[in-house]
Amino acid sequence: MKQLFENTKINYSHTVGFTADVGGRGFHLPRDIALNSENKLFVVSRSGAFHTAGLRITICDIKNNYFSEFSKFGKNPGELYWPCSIAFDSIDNVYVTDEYTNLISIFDKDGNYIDRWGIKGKKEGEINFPSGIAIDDKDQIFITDNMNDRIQIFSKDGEYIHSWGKEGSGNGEFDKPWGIKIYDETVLVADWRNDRIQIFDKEGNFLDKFGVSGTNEEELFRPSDVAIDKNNFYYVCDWGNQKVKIFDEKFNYCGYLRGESELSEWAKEYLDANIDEKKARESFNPVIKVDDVESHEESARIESYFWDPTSVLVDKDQNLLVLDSNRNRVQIFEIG
Amino acid sequence: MTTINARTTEKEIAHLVRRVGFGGSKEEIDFLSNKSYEESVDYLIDNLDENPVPVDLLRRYQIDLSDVRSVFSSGSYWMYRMAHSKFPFEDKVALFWHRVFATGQNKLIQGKVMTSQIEMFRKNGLGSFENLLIELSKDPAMIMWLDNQDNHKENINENYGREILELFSMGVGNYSEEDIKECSRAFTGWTVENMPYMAIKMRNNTARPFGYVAWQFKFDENDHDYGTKEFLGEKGNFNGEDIVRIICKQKATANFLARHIYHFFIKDELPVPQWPHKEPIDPNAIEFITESYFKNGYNIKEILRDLFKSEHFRSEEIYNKRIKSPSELVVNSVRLSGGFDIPSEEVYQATISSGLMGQPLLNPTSVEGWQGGEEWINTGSVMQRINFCSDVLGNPEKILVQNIFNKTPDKENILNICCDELGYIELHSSTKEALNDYIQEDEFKINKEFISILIKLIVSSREYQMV
Repeated sequence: MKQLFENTKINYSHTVGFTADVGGRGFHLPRDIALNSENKLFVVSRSGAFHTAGLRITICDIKNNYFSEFSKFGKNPGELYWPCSIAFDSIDNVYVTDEYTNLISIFDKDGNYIDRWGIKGKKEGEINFPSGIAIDDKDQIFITDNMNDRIQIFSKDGEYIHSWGKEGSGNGEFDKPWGIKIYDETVLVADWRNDRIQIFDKEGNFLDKFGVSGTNEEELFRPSDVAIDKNNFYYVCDWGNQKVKIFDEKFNYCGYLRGESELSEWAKEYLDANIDEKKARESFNPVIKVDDVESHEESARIESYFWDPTSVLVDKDQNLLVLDSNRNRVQIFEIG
Repeated sequence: MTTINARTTEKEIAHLVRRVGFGGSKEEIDFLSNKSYEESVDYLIDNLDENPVPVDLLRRYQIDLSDVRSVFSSGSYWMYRMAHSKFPFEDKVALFWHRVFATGQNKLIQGKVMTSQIEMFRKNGLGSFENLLIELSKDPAMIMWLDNQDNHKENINENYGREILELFSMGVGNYSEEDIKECSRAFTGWTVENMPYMAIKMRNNTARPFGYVAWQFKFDENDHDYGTKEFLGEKGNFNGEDIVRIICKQKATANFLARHIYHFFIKDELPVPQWPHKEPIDPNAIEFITESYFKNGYNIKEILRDLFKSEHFRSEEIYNKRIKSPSELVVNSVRLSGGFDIPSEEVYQATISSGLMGQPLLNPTSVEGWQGGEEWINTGSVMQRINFCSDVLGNPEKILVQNIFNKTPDKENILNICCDELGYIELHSSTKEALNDYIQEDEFKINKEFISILIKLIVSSREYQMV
């Protein structure tokens, strides 16, 4: 259990997920997670460039209930090519960004296809590599327009509203932004290649920023997402350092999570059905002393650690959900 | 005695960069031509490109290149690097070791450990051969490939002990069956962490429950045979390191390695299984490399430096006499076309194409690797080779066509301009004649479309297939 501050602790709870690279209960190289108003967890699996059978959006919850999945690999309406992020509007319709087709696809809460919009380009209202997505209480769609290094805002129907940002490292400038979150009237952006989080109002006025670039403990390297809990602690998905870094409301560094996953319920059921693997796993020591200090390599060798965490969110019950992309699971922590 | 000139001909530099790397553009060759030949050799092999590809971008956008699970994703990860490295000598040498120490993903299942093995070749492949053999013996992919995890002190498995002698160092006929046993005993306990679980995941071909765990070397002292061993006439309590030390001082090792180096960098040799029975094609060259091996304390880079500066390498008789391996052909073409975009799906197509031509990266067909030479060519692979080169180099969206067009060629010089831009490729007189006839036809116009067609015709020639 990590002690963040007096009265605030964070504790690993459990894991949801399983490697399922051809569909079914589990995920394959997931990119993003989001919870709808019914607390259903939607997981976007991008799958591999050649192994596309695992691409889909899974509907489940953090209690290990699996409900269904929808969409598949392709370029036709209802299909996705390189899906990246997901968000819900006020009636729980699902919006998914696709970095390859530059389209935003819309589904209803059960996964039935509704529509899609988006035009590739550099002009206002055109998109090049839409990565992150967030939707505010007025159903305005905020997109990190990755290759154009800006944030663009659209209506639900794809009508351009406004935008801000350009390539650079100054305040309000971006270098390949990724995750985006809206909390009340503030917009948080994971300014990925600038190794920082930037904070704006919804009009795009720069408010603040935090994060020092690097691979040391208090630093950020290619952060992909950010979330806030009720006590205004920031949880930064430090993708490049393979950690989640925690900061207080004044951006003081408080600690990090490296990941400590145990078997999920779905994984246990798999092993129960494959006795030879279950038996061999009895002597498995997941945390070995790794003879390579590079964090990506370390994550590749230690199963319980995060390996390319891409997305974080805090639910209504103050659970921190960390999408552990290369391990095809969500690690869940209780914030106490 | 070689005369050192302040300037070197484009023809000789083109040969050098084809063999030391993956060919060069006109710009690269012109740059090196202003140096002496020896300076060019030093420049190409002493400089390294530590980060030719922005790994963060690859991992973010092409996420299967982050977990590098499949053969295409791990192969593509390497393909990016070979196609973009400013100084690709390190990767050319890694490709050489990949052929000699052939390890395949078809058995290992996960690509991550193969990517790590290539990284190990990059790191150690130009140093001492003794050190390289030790690192190879500790390499998790090699351990699992040749079953050394099943080599126990009470029950040896000879697979690795046999192959390190037969395929990786000395060659058949230079050791006894007893040496194989003693060698195997010395490598008992050389295994991977969490072996039982890792082995069964490999056997069951499963990434469940949470993806593959990359393997790590482990020396299990409880499973190592500490008894006395007799190996190649020496006696002692040998561990694997001692065995490698004894192997490396054998002349047979130097000869065997020399023949591999000759085969890869000079001229196609006979298939490896024939080596115990047939003399080398050029015994003088083998002797030269063998002497260099001992003179340089087994240091691979210095052996190659000696070779590249020698007449064995510089002789015009060997120019364009080897058939490009599929990976050489693919990487050469991609580099000339300006490389891959990031992110891009082109890299996967290039990696698959290399496989369809007969060389799937990180997945050789057997422990003997690829023989190469004329085996690269058959009716199917020729079509693949021509189609790939035509598509990549004749693509009017790529920089090559644009560069040629920008030089405002005319019908008299366009063929020479194209050949120069393709790395000073030398066409046979009959090929030139046929292409010039086509250029002189009325329908041939000087525009990007026809430049593209002309390039496609040039790279479809026999000459472009050679290195």
